[in-house]
Amino acid sequence: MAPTDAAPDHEAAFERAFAEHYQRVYGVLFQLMGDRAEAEDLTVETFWRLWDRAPRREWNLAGWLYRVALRLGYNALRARRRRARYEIEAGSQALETSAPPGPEQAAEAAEERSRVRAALGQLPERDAQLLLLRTAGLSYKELAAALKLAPGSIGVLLSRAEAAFERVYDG
Amino acid sequence: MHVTHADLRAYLDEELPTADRARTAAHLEGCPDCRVRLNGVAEQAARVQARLATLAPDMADAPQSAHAARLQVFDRQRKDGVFMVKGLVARRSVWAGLAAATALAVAFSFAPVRAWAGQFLGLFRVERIQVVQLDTSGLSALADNATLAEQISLLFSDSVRIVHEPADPVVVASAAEASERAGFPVRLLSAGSVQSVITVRDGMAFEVTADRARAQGILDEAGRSDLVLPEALEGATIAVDVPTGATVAYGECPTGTQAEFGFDPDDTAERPTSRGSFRACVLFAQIPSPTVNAPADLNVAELAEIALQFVGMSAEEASEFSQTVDWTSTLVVPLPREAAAYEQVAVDGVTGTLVYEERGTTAEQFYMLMWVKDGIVYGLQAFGLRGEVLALANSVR
Repeated sequence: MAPTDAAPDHEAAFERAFAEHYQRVYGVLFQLMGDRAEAEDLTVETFWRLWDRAPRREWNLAGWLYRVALRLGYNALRARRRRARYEIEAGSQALETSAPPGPEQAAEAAEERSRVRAALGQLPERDAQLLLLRTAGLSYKELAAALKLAPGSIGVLLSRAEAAFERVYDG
Repeated sequence: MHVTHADLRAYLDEELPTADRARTAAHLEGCPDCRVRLNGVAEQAARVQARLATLAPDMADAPQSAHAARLQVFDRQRKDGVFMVKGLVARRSVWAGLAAATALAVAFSFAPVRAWAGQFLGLFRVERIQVVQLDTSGLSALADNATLAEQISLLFSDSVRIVHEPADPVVVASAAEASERAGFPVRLLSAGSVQSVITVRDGMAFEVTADRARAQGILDEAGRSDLVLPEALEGATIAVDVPTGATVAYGECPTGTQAEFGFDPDDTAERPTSRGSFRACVLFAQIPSPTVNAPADLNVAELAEIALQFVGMSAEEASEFSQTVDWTSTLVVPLPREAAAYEQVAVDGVTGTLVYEERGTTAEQFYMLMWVKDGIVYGLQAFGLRGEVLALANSVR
């Protein structure tokens, strides 16, 4: 099914990257988008770019992958906010995430997620990305690769990001 | 010597190198202060992770199987054309298309729909540019037809054979170097001390072998069975040669992957990738006329009429227009009527075409100026006042 004229090592590298990171990339994108269909689409888009555009000699394939995923996620969120703005201007009632009617628990959970996202949105981008990727299960080494940070600094940066998150969330 | 904050956290996450882990564990055993600090770090981490975990997908939101996703990844490659087709008719995308403004972008307005060869010479070289305004409202409905868009893109990808794949673009240090690489005199604007970046874009060659039956099927699917493609089209092979061109970027222009793909994975700063960022940027593209070779018995005017009708012209208008145009030497640029206006202007000693959004020409806005001189097609994109843009174009040396 794969295109036949790719260099064999590129194809092998892609397959490895796909097998290893598919679930987590989806996890990251789902955290950002909150919607399964969108997260799936963006996941496919991310891996397609990996296949099509990743530098052939990229030793840090995983880092590149998560950076692309984050970037695509942020672009999609911006587009969503723009659309929501236009809908508001047009006088429409529809907004991006309206709490679904249902049992109290579901509504509360939705509200919590909304609050968490809002808090993340107020953090400096690197801190938000650090937290998102960590939640998705990346190791320190992977975090360092994805965000271009020194591996030895991840511990303290993570702590500071968490502290910042709590300040915004509780404040 | 107490444990650093960094090490505490890494210790908690079991991310410390073995030697350090052992040392830290030993220290913690004998240091209540550090144990207290460790607890604090652990509790904060747990609280925050619990909050963030609410965002993670639960059972109901598990993704499709990896296998299915993988199939979609490769399927996506085939569908790439779908996004291209949709983009072409979106209301504001005349700028998305023109703003690419690279030599290849100008050359690709020669896409098979428009660049059929002359019926006598079989050869097509650009000597002039003609704009035709279209009412594309009908076409936007088509753009939302995913099946149709997919069929068009599949027909395109199945029919096109790349004869020469372009090498990656190369940034060069001078116009002289660009001229040498590109094989034609690369010209610059006299833009004062504004920094310029010259990129040489390798040319490409491709062949299109027409599949009349499939193309007719698409017309039928689009509800245009009234348009009948000529028999001579069946199996006709059209060869297109796009030469190497150059783009000169002045000022603050989005670069590299950001300009091409709208994002740069290495860019952690939130730089806008919308057209807003093109305001401080002037793009000047130049490319020798692409050449198109087609069978002599192919009635170009007839095909052009069909293409024009498909994108929105009435039969009478299309016929009239097609008869007045010399298809062997004219680059026809379609513009959605509701998105842009145009006028002929004097530039560089020839007549050029100035395209702009319909807001009159008194306000600052994006302008696209195209002209042909001595067999080279030029394209200039800039933001500003009409007079400024014309002056800029006329400063070419």
